[in-house]
Amino acid sequence: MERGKFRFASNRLGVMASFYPWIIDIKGNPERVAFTLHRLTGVILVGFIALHIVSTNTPARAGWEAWVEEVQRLSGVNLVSILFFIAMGALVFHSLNGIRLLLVELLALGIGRPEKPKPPYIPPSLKGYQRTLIYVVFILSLVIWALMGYVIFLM
Amino acid sequence: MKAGTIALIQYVTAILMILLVSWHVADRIPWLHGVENLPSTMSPEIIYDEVERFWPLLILLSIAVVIHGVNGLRGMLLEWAGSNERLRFAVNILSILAIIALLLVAIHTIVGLPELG
Repeated sequence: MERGKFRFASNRLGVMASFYPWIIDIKGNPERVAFTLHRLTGVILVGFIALHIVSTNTPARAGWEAWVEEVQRLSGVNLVSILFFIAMGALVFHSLNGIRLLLVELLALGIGRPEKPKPPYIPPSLKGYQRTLIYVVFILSLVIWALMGYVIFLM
Repeated sequence: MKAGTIALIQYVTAILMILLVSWHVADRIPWLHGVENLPSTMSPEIIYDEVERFWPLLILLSIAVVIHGVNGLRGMLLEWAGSNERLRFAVNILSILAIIALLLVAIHTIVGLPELG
């Protein structure tokens, strides 16, 4: 294979390749974008979970007064509430996309039938209704995230 | 542990989380508690009542979330570690330690919850 003709043909980008949604040169590949976002939101959520577990330990560690003070940091628009909002966005997307992955990977729903490869090489996995499911996940995530934004910032 | 077993754990914790995280997040909807905003849903009275009534679910939620999260991150770090055995060993050990540490804090949150004054 001639190097330089195919992007990342040598596959040397390692973990960075996971964060590059266009690594597969197929126009408008939502599966790749969903994969990248799933990883990115996963990393955000691991950080959030660690902080959340330590933060909810406040009553046991420092008493209820300290807890009330901590919770008040979520009032209004500030750095804590903005970071919380971002974490909730990550949670919504990761959950909905996770449900899609369970349907596709565990129950094999929504993927196309295996076929003889012919140009353009679009994976059969993108030909079933899972492509539609990906767009449903994107749109639903935005809607639920906006509702969460309303509860976090505007109530 | 076999890679297949770890993948299965990831799926099982994911299914558990769909139910438990949905409940945990929905419980922060202000009008379900008759309060006016998000911080009010986390008042000491509401949190104390929630922990008293649902502590087994909260522990199950902690276990599922911590294992799923740390194991997911571990998978990504193992890709980065490639075939470097020392790095792979370090990632695996750190993952186990992170799971134990986070679960201990989570259990302390429930066991050490003070009475309302």
